[in-house]
Amino acid sequence: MDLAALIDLEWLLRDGAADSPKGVRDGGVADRVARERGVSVRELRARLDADPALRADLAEEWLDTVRNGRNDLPGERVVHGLDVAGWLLIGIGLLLGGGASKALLAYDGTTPVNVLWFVFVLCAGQIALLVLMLFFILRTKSKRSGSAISVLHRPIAALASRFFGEGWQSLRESLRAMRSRQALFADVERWTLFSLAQRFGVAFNVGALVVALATIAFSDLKFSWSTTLDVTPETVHAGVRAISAPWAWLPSAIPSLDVVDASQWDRMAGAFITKVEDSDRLVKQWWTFLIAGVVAWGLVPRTVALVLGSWFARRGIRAYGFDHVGYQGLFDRLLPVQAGWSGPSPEDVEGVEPTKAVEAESARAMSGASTWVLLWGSAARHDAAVRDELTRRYASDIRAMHGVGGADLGADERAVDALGREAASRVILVAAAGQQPTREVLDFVLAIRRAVGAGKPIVAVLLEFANGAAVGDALEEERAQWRRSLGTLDDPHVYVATGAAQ
Amino acid sequence: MTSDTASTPLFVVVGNVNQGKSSVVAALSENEAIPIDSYPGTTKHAGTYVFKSADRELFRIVDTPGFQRPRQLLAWLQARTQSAADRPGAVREFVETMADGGEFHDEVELLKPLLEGAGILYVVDASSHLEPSNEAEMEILRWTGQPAMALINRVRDRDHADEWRPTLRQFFHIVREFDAHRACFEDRVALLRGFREIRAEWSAAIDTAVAAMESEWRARRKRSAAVIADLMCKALAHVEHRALAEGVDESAVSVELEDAYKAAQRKLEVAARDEVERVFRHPGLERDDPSVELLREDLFSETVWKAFGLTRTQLLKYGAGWGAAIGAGIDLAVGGLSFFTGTLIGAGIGAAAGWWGGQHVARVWPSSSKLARTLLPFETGRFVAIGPVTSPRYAWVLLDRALVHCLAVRDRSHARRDALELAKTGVVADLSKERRDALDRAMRDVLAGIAKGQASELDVARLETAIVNVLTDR
Repeated sequence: MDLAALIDLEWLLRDGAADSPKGVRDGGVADRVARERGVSVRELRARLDADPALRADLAEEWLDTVRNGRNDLPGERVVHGLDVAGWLLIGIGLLLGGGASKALLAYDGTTPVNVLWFVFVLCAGQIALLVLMLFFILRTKSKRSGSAISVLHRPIAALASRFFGEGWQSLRESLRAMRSRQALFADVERWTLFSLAQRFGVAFNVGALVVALATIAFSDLKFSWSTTLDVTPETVHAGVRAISAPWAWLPSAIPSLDVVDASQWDRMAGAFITKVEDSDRLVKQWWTFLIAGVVAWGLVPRTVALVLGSWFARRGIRAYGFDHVGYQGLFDRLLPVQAGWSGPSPEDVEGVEPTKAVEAESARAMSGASTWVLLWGSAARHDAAVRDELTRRYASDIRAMHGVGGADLGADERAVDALGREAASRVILVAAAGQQPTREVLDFVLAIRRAVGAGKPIVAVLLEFANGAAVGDALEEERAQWRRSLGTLDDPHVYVATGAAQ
Repeated sequence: MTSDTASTPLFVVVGNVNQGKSSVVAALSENEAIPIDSYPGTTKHAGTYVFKSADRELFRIVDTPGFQRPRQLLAWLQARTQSAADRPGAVREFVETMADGGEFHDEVELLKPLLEGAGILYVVDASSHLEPSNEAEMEILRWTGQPAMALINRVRDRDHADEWRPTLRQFFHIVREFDAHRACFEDRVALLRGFREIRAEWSAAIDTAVAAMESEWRARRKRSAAVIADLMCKALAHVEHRALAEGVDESAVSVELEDAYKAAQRKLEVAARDEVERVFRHPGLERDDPSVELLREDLFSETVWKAFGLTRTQLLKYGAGWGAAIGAGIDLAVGGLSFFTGTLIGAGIGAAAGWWGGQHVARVWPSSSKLARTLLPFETGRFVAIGPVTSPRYAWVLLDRALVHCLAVRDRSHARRDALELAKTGVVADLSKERRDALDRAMRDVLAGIAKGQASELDVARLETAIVNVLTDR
């Protein structure tokens, strides 16, 4: 896993973009990772919560699949941008370091180089920066450290909005959306930018060293120290020894008190204050100290910081948990859930719905008409109640009642025969609420039609029974169900009775 | 059937048409796509639904068309049987003879899997009366010789279960009630455990299936909590801003800015709901219905603010903590130069806001504010920003709505085809003090982190845990 991959993953798993792109088979990803690890997919799922490396492998494998054939992901571009920025910083560092060194070692043969300036800029200055760097490192260890990167984001935002215009707006919105997860990869971001900054530091010191060595090698320099302050050579020597502490094992690079004493320059007089024998030779000894100072306080710490920063950034990527809600969604798809169902598609099991266009009519049973009543199924147990109810509701002249739809199929035939024999002019089929208009019911209605002939009304009445009495009608929803089913018979004289209240 | 699948428990759901067979299967298999309708014959072909744990098939359920002509079928069988020993053979003969379908297409579809050694789940609708055709069905099922369980379902509000029970007990040694439309996870697991009684040798597979279901359920709970925690973090942290042209006053964009801020909050809420519905396998859930008025009601309406969230007394207590958290963020943003007056004033303001209410969700910040600069590091030039959330009342309302929605989705049966129903009031006000304190602490820590630039992973994890605990309790 590298920075480009992490950026691409966060980009792909940002809000509303959690689904795999078309053509990416999630199952294949899990299979490949399982094969590489020599375990089953089932075991992968079981290990997922406790194994960040597995989560990283899965995410990386998925990303490889998604990346195939795509060039619209930002990871490589960002990393490339960081590389370009790194090289720019190196170039700027070399120029600035070399320029600083050149300026600090400028000697026209009249006034010797003032080593205090060189030490102040290239040693003390870098010591102060080292202290700040240590503070930064320690601060990042604290739990609630704020984001230092905003210092960089703002100029980057200004530059980007200037160069990319509107295109930057959408990118900025997405970056802001991802900000809520920033805590999770803050280490990666922080140390990546840190190591980028160290490239500048290393380049600056390399530039300063190269130019200093070249100036020393190819010109005749003379060093001195000069100050307005009342500072004795002993004090300056103590400072020199303190700065030389890192290379105390190299005495030739630490100016002695004699050298310091001999190097004090009087600017007004334009001459060294103390004239000692061989002073010209002594004052030239400073260069080893200055070079050692740049190496010890500039080049080495910045190189160490660069190496450490890069290592921390890589460690941040390795330690990344891959467990925020976007990853959880991804892993749920990549690995079969621990338990799940599969089944046929709806169209494989569904029948053809009766069209509503051919529903049977709703109708009241005609008041006072002669009526032959058939009691379907359990309704036959309530014949007296049905007679009362139909008489009360419709003042029907009930000529005969037959129980049908029971255990005895012969009873159905006998009832139908009776209707034919008696030339029934109107038939009411009573069923209990809840009775379904099954095919055998429809078959029976067709048999009635055959027996009584075309044009005679056949009315289905659906009643609810309780305690041996009819207590009401079936629900409208149930009557609608019957209308739809009876409608399939395509008989305009088959009706479903409306409820008593209608 | 292969030898491998022969050892897998197989249950066939049978019954008359429109008894709720498909509803039972939909509820058990968490399948919203199974066709369910009131017209007889909605299910025309048997469909097999397989429950797997990882790669292993643990049991299968077959949904079948209903009996359409049970009395005629029984008569057919009786005409070909001399003794009880002939009965299973007669059923097999029927299936083979009528294999081409014809008038007994549905009966063949439902009897065929029974010949493969399946257990029978006979579903009846207790809102209907016991009919002679039902007795014929039971008799036919007895003739198959397969182990069977009767399930009393209720399609409508009427209840004739007492009429059914004596007859069912004559035909089935296990009779259970299962309301497919109201079945929650615990009901489904309880029914599944009951399947063990159908055939003893299937107990181990059923136990494994139950364990897998429970494990999967825990994972869903954790995932839904993560979604809600993510919503809260994003919503609390959200900052909307507008660049200001030279000479333009902040007040000129404030109304549009506030509208955009609220729209962004609503969008976050909708996205989180969609995700929770996916977690609980309700991807096509209908929410645009009057019955979900409280969820449909705008997030920022006074009705919602009254129905959800904490009571006024609770807000007084928690508001002080929230004000302090936000104030501390301001203290930090100005480098501690405010000598913690932000914390103290914030606590006071928070408590007052909790008591007197109001729907002020977030503060408006000018670009000169350090907090605005901290929260919008990308932004350059003059701008005006609104956010993050400073109102504890709003945060609790948002959390409450998310919890109510999550609970409603979690407990919704997949047999239902109507719009989502949910409790008319929130849940957070009734939580135990321990649970509510944990939620408040976690949200405050998240907010404090946001005010300093970002919420820590640990705080988000704490919020997630607090939400998991609430979902587990209820």
